[in-house]
Amino acid sequence: MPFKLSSEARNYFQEIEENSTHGSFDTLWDQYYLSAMVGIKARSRVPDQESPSNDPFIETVIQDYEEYRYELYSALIVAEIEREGIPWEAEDDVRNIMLDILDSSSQTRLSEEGANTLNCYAEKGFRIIRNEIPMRPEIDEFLEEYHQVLTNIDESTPY
Amino acid sequence: MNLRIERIQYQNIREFQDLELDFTAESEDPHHISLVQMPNGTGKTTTMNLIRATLLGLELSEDEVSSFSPNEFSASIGKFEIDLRTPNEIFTLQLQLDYDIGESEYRHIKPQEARGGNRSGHYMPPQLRNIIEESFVDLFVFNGELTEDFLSRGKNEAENALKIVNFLNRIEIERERIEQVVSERQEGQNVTTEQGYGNIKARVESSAEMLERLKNQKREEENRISDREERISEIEDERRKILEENEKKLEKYKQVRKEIEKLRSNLEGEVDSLLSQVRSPRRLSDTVDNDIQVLLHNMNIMKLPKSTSQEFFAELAESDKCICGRSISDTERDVISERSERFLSEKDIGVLNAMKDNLRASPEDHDFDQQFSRIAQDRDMLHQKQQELAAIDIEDEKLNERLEELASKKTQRQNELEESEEMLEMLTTNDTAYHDRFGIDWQRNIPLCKARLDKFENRLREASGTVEFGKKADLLESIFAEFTKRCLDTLKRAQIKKTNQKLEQILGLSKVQVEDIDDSIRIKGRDEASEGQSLSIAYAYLASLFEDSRVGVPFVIDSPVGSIDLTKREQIAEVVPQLFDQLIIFVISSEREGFVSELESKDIQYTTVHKTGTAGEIRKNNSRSYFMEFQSEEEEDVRV
Repeated sequence: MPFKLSSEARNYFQEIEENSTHGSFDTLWDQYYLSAMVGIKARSRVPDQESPSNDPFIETVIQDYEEYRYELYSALIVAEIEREGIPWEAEDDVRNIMLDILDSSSQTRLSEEGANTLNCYAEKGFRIIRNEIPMRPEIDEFLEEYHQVLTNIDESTPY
Repeated sequence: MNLRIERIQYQNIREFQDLELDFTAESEDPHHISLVQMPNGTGKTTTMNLIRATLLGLELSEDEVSSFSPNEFSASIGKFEIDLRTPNEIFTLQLQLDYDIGESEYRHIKPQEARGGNRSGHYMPPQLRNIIEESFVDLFVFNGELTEDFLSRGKNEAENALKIVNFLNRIEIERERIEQVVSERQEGQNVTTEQGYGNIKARVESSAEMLERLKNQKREEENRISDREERISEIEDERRKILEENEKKLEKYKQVRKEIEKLRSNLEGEVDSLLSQVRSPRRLSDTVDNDIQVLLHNMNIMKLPKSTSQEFFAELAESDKCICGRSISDTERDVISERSERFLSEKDIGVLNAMKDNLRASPEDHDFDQQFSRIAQDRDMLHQKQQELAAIDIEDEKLNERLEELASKKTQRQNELEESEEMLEMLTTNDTAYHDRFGIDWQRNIPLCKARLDKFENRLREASGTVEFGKKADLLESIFAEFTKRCLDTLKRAQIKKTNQKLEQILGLSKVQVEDIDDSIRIKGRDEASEGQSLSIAYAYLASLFEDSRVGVPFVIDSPVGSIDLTKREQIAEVVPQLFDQLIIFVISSEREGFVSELESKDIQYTTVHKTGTAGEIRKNNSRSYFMEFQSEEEEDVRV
């Protein structure tokens, strides 16, 4: 399963890049990752049917993220456990979530389901970002506001 | 010989019914500086005119006499007196004004003589008699306009002053008289043919008249050239200033752009660094790090991944014997197969191990707030610099229009200058080829006119038999001319040196210096001086003139800094006291600031003279504090 970023999200980030005179996102992976982290922290994802279906951008985890992929997958696993309301004592269920998301035979070490789940978190995360940062500021201001959105998620109710 | 003014007295003159200004100290010597503060309209100009007239013994017209009569009270006789002192004698010059018949009369009083020596007529000690003349008096009872004329191109006041103080003007008067004497001699001779003589004389006269007219034309043209050169120079100066300002603006523009580029580059670096920092989820958010710690903790509780794999039990279930050697029955085999599903596959163990290994190391902390604060500062600075850049108008249309306007003006002035230069060349050239080419005759050219005059003068002398006398007169005239020129050259060199020494002493080294006296004063290395510097030069020039003069005179001046900017007055205040032994300065209250307050002398007399509400009544006060605080009603009105 490739990683997918909806065309709305791509347009949104493109507008930020167009407004920026100093710096840009290095790759679509940056945009995808920033979106996914918001969804994960908010414990919120779009349903499978709303997952961006026709917008794959890459099959692999790029080198910039290679060293951090397990951090991302772990965060994803915890988000799924908490979103589904599974208590940590339910070891089988916890283990099943982990095994559903991970796959040692895939190049990314993420199963089809795992990649799809991450795509759903990224899509939801993008929607939260668009809602919270509607003005498309320059990239440095965006990153500052983005950081504030993450802090707000910690302090407020889930989306 | 030194001449000093000790006292002046007015009786029934304009505003003054009875006023005495005594400039002497207790020692009976005159004060170094006597400041007389009089509000405008109180009589400063009247006083200057009266001092000039009385020193010279000028005859006054009926109108001039009546101009001194009081307006606010009635009087039929007015009197103005000056007490003067030379090393040899003390005397008073008195101007009596009879307003009824409009006549004036001078008297002089010598107190040391028997019965006070009050006699009719003007008087001047013999040593001063030929010196105290109008042009000389104008230099020390100072006509303020002369300072400007000293430095104005086309004016010859500076050179004239040099001639006057050194009596070279007398030689010039004598030169003019030679021609008159020759003419008188010619008139006196018997001439053979009266008609022929008359014809030649008429031609001499017409040539002389034409020569005078052409010389006037030449002077006018030279003045025009000087004016036009000055205008062109002003235009060039303005153009240079505009271009310099533009250059500065461009430099500033480049500088700000450079700063903007640097800030952008800083910000790009910060954005890159920020993106690389946020790529670690644990560094991005503490709560994500906590989540991962919780996951690791629970994996440990669940003993994940377990050391024995699912594949081990599946294999065991298919074996006949257990690894301990006991036989495995079908019932046991089923239980092992069923329970083996609780164990992870080797692949799953691998991926979970990889994940655990990866998560074991703690991430490095990163202070995002500090980085955002740094970025915000750079961003604010960038916005500020961008606004600064937008405010720099490097394509200033008005400026370009002004430059075009100046270029067009300069072309126009240059054309006019060329016309004047051509006209001057036509008037002065000796080139016969030029004369022939343009059909120039004696009525349009000075050398041709002069040649014609010489020709007919010679003929006239021949006709009148005064040729030899005329030749001798010409020789004498040329001797006088040569004498004047040589004297003047020597005097100018000495005058330049003395003036420059004074300027150096007053203004310090590397300030303005006089380069030449070419009719007017020319300043070294520049076309013009500031207003303050011009006055300093003019005063230093005057003081140098009088220094070697046979007469040491008081310097009397009216409103020396009235029109001078406050910031430049101090320079004048420093210069003036050093230049003369006796200074009488008439001032208005607005001149106190920056001038009176800065005068440096141990001997300053402060006198304030002003009208009261009563017609004809004048008050005089000699206190310094009164002087420094005095405000006339008119000035107060202006302030209100």
